[in-house]
Amino acid sequence: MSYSAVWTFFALMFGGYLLSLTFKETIEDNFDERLNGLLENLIGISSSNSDGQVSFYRAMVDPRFEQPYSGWYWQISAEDQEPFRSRSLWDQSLEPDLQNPAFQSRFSIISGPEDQQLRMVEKDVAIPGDPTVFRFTVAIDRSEINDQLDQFDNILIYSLSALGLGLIAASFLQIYLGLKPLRNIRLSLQKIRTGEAVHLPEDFPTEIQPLADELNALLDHNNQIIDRSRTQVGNLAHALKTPLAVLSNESALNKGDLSELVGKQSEMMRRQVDHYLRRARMAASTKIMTSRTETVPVLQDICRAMARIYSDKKFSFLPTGEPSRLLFRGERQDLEEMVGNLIENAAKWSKSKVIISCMREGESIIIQVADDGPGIDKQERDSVFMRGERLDENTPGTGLGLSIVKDLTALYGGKIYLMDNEPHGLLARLLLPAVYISP
Amino acid sequence: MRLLLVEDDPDLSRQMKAILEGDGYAVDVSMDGEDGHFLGETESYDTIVLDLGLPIMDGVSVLTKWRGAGISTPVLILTARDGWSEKVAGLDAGADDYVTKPFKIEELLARVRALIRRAAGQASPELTCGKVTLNTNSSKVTVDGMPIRLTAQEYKLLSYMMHHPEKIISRTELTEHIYDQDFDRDSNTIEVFVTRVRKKLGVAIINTIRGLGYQLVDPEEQKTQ
Repeated sequence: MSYSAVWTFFALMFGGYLLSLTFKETIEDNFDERLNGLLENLIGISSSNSDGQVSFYRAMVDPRFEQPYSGWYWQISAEDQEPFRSRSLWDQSLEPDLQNPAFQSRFSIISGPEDQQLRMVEKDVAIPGDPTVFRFTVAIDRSEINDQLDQFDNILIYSLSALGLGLIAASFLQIYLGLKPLRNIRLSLQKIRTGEAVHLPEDFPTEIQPLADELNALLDHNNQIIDRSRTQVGNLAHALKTPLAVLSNESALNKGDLSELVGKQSEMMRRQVDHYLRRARMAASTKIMTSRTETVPVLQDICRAMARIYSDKKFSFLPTGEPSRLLFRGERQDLEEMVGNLIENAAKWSKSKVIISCMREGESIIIQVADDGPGIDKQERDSVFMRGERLDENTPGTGLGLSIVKDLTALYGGKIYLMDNEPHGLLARLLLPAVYISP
Repeated sequence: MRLLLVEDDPDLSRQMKAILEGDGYAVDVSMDGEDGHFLGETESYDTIVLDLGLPIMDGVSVLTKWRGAGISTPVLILTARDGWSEKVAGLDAGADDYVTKPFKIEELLARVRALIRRAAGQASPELTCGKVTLNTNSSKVTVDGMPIRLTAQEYKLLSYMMHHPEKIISRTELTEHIYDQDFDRDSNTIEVFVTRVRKKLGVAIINTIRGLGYQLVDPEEQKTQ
């Protein structure tokens, strides 16, 4: 910005100087031409009589030649003769240098009466019928053009200054306005990072829109990469689970050392596969900038699914507030896993009712799952989160459910609380980060 | 009880057939979605175990078609994917319960039993009719507390009838639900089995309705009617 200001300043200075010079030259040329014209006029109206006296056919037109010390003077001189001069010269002489012949109009600057600075033009002319060479001279006070030049210079300075300021202001404005879309892009990207938006908007000026489009494409590309790796992870799970099922089934159906070994090892494999797959999925989750999930549809889906399986229990889902504000700042799969495990747990253990609620409090989404089952003793509440631990060996299930919930919750920086439900049962309270929504 | 298993992995399906037959079911196996869909639509089963990742037609499509055709047989889906969306999709399409691979055998069997009971409107694993009690979890039959030994086929017959009390069941229906597809059926053998079961139970809970079939009734209730 400052470079352009300095550059503008110097350019204008230089330009102004050139303009001034050019104008001065033009004015001076015009002036000289005028002088020359007057000189020719003077020559033209002169004639000499036999005494060597010069006289005029007609008078010099301009009345200023008649006013004393007006600044407009003419003089006709010859050697050894009293010069014939204008009335304006009065008693002064222009003092031409007669020794120096002037075959053509010669211009010079002399000082005249009353310290006037005069522009003088002189020429030697022989009037027909007279052998004497007369020096014709016309001089005009330069102050005429000086005023014009000064006036021009003033106008020039004012207008160039104004132009300069205007240009500088314009360049500032242009830069500010030009960068504004970039600032908008920055703000939009911030929104994407906080999960408030998914894409850059499409309403940028035409110069910037290609950049925004590229950024959007990059975001999509990123998400695709993550989706692809997540799909691969899912594919791995799918591919391994059937062989593992076959192995563990076979070992259960047969007796013997080999069977037992196969059974133990395939169980180990299954645990490791689950463990690392989950971790891979979690690693992918934290990379996604733009994850946002509507909690209401997810809770509805799972509620419906559980109601179908546990058709003898009653499920109620009570969301509070606008569903569009109940946005979880994370991946749908992870929310499904957390919520699914909690609700399924509640369904298994409940006597007859499961109540699920969902609300937003500031920057958090709060999901509560309450059942009317036996609940969990305070002392044992910590241990249910331990991997693979189950309180009741008789209820089928892998028992890993709650530990998965705890891992995922921690990953998102959320919290899970287990509390007593009234009059009996368990209340699971899940706190998760919400997508920032500008008020 | 007759069961359809739709699973494309040959090893797993062989194993599961063995497991389920071991628990007293007559099992038909299908290895792809199209065939499975056809069987489910044309034959009558007490429960269907359906794998979701099937060739030709995937599990969810098969299930959607069945439910669309009004087939209300309980369906247990087998899922392998680590996510809930597959489970939810299957349940939305009409499944009644799910089991994830790899599963514990006990869990699979328990869920199948639960589905059959639920379909019959029986909430508890213990089915009773008068003095006769049949425990679906342990496959034990008692009369007045005294355990009774039944052969596999006899148990299947009694179990089916106890799941559908008061219903008049034709011989054909019994035949369909006790034997798998490949068995060479002869409906006269049903009569033989019924006679044997009656003898072993010692209580008259199976009535013959001439021309229509058999009916399970509680003799005490019948007396008061």
